[in-house]
Amino acid sequence: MDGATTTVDGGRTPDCPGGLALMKLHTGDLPGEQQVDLWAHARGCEHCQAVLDGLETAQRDALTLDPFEEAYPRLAERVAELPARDPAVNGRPATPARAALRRWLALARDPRTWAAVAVATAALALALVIGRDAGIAPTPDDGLPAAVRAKGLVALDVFALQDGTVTEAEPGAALRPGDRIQFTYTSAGLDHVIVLGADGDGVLSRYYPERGAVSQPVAPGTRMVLEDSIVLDAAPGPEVYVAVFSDEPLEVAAVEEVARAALARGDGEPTALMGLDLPPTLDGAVATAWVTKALEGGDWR
Amino acid sequence: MIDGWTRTQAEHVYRRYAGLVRYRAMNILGDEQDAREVTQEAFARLFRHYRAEDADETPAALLIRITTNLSLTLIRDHSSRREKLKMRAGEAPGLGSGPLGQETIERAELVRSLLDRVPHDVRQLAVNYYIDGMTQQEIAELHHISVPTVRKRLDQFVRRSRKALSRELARALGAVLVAAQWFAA
Repeated sequence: MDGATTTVDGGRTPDCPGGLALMKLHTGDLPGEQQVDLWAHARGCEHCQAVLDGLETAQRDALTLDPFEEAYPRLAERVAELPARDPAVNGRPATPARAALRRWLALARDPRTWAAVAVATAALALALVIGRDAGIAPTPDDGLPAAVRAKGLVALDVFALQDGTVTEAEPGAALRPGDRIQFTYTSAGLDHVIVLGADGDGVLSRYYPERGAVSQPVAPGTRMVLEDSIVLDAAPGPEVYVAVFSDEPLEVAAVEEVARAALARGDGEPTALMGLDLPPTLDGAVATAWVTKALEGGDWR
Repeated sequence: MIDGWTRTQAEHVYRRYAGLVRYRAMNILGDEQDAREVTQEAFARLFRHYRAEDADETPAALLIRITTNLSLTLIRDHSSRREKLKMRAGEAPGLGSGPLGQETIERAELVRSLLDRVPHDVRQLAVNYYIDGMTQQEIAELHHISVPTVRKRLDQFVRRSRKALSRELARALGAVLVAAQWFAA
């Protein structure tokens, strides 16, 4: 940041993002280029760095004081004690969608509605029996695409080996050509994955699976290590990695085509892969990660 | 499995957002034990109410609002809360552990002490604006309301706070004047 910038509010400058944006930056909830821009700002801003440090400390403390393994059974007990789920009364303010939901609930209280539902249910049951006999029985996930089921739950993280030390690379972490990186993933119940990456020159590379026409099955879980590591080349700038998780194997070429199209729309900027949207024909959930590659003595920006 | 969430899904969400919830609970409450309690309860409520497939927002947005509500309820319910806060006034608690400025910490203390003088919907927005440092636009998006509405409620908070502060100042000044009279007598 410019040292002459006027500071307001505990070191905050007019260029600083709002508190919500910083929180989302910390949790990885910011889309696309916003992440890149905010990390670039935060690195040189005392106020934003202090907020991010506070969030990081809170994260470490929360998981140390109440690790998930110990919290899980207690959470299950708490949830059991809470009133049943009522989407209309969960503390959220009224929105058009919620107003519509309330109208539906009012409709549900009308006995005439239930008479109509009984008829429809009977018809549906009949259709399912016929469907099963015809070999088209629904799977447990029918009607709920993987992309929807795992929205916000899949994740791709990067670990870097630098000077003999392995550290988790924060989003946008500065790495050097020759550094070795390894991915971990959180599959959220989706057990096939493709990992692609684009470098500062806009070149798309395929990282997982190394070969084969379709995505490969992986062990389900949280922060699972993806086999094989990558040595970073000399292309400077941000390098963005995108993982596409799915229930069924996806054609690698089809995913590559979507990624190339996104890169083309973004003038070859690798950050165009962040928040990659898949077409409905590719039912998968997307997670992204990124690092920056700085050549000795220079910054990519 | 917790209420439709697989253990894996629950773990991922917990690991991803536990810091955010704790950070905010600490900032609002300024109390370690209460922040832990609020963090756990916030996740329980998220698991009960949030379903990605029918939500029009992220878990983060819902967790932020749940955390605010739980923290404000705790402040209201604890009759000794205000006394506890007074006791800690010199300890500069809360605001995560980041090296934020003293000015920010003092303002957060002041906002906390004024929260129970305004309606609940105004309180939530005051926390977001003065303690979380959110912009009015961000608050509007978080609560699904317009920016002018945010501005109006924040103005309401400022007006009521000014009144309350001037009353307290008058009371304090009165006490000083009475004491001065006694000593003079």
